[in-house]
Amino acid sequence: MNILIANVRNLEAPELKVLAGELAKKHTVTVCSLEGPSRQKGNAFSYSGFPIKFKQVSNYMVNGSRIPAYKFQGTPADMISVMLGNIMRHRKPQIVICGISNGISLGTDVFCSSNIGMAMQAAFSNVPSVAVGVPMQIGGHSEAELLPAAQFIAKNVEKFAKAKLPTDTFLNVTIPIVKQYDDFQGVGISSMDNLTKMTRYLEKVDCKGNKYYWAQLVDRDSSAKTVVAPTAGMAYFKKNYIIMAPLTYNCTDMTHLAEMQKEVVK
Amino acid sequence: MKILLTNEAGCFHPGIVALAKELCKDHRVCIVAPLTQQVGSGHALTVDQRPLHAQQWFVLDNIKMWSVDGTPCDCVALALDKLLLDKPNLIISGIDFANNHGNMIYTSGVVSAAVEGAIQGVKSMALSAVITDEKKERAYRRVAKYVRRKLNYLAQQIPDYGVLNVNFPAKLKPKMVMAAPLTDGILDNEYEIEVNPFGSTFAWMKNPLREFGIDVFAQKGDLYWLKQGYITLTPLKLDLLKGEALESLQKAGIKL
Repeated sequence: MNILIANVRNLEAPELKVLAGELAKKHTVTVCSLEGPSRQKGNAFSYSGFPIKFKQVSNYMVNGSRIPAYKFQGTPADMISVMLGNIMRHRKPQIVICGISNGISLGTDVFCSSNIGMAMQAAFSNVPSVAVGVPMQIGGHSEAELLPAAQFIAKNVEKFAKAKLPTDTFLNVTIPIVKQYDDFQGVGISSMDNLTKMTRYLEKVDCKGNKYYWAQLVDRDSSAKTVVAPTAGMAYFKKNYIIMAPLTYNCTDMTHLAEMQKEVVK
Repeated sequence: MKILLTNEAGCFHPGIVALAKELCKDHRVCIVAPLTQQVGSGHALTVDQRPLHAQQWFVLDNIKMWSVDGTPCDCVALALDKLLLDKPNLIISGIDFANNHGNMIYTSGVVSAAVEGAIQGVKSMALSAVITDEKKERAYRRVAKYVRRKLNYLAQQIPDYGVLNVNFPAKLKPKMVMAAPLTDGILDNEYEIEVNPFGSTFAWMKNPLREFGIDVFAQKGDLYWLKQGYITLTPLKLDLLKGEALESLQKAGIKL
């Protein structure tokens, strides 16, 4: 199978190396990655007037063999758009795997996640895509910690590509960190619940007396209104279950729309 | 009502200024918007690269105005957490100079700013118009006057835990309003590769104005009604889970 692996950290990141290593055993793999800061970029996109700089890396080695690799300066969605719109235009990948992201996207976090942004961009072009995430650890995980997650993706990648999902749908796969593959308890299909992060700011004053603000992501407090209904997903995830959620980019609120249409007719 | 205004085109853009000048006649209005143009910023947040700075401006009478050196979503989050003394009743994002319909809502900073407002629990709507003619300010003022007149109606249409996306057509006919779903169009962006004098490679987008086929118009989504000259209202929800896909995913047989 022809697979594109996209990552937002860099080409040498263990997240990318371990996933490419597992997938390249059986499949044709192309990898691409961003350079520089790329957290929480969502679906940001450079329209015409802003060209996207990229470079083909000639000696990128995985499992002792050379595979095509590209590094980009731009946003995550730009990278997928250029890969599908030019570099791989005539040999479209059968699936795009985004990740493994150091951090998971629950509930409304999906709007600002770079990893989900890439998967959504691939879905816009009608290519099946999977966003893979593991719980965040500052400094990132080692290759050994990520190996079971990569093995799960490699084992099921053909099923992901052939699952007959609607065209406006892509997958968000959240994988717990375990010591070895046998520690996974099972696979669940559910949305992740409403334990989303909120953006809050830390106010500081610089040497000239001007205020500046550092963004921090904090857990939503329990008193806040819940936007996404809570489900059992998180409880199972904590028991080492892998959770898959089919997400759509078509977010029209159909029930509300039907009510509005009745009113407009009046 | 206490209203927070933001946009993606910058705090001095005629769209937001026209809207502020109209709405301040009956409401308490505050602008928190990016200092520079942030087109296509989507839901990007400035998190670990650098801190944000806010600057207060005194250019419009009885309207508080801040500029933030970040994206539209940064502006909303910072305004709600630090800049505003009390929580607004309504967030209006816009007026944008181009329509945001279909998939474009995800790359649009205007709609994403409204989504950020809704995530933080404030009723939010996004406004976009097609403004191309020379007399820009007059065109924006016409849209702003319509919004002021219909503000209560529009605010009522905002779904609980969601966002209302409002698009104005090129020629505003106030009586033609339609509630329409998002248009689902498949993107096919083409790029041209260019090598600069220093040997670096760049990709330039070839078709920035996305042309949609006939099948897209057959859906009768927001794009169809916009082309017919209607003002479109689209309620958006924040839960992206696709219920219909659960069963087919189960049948795919993905296991350990």
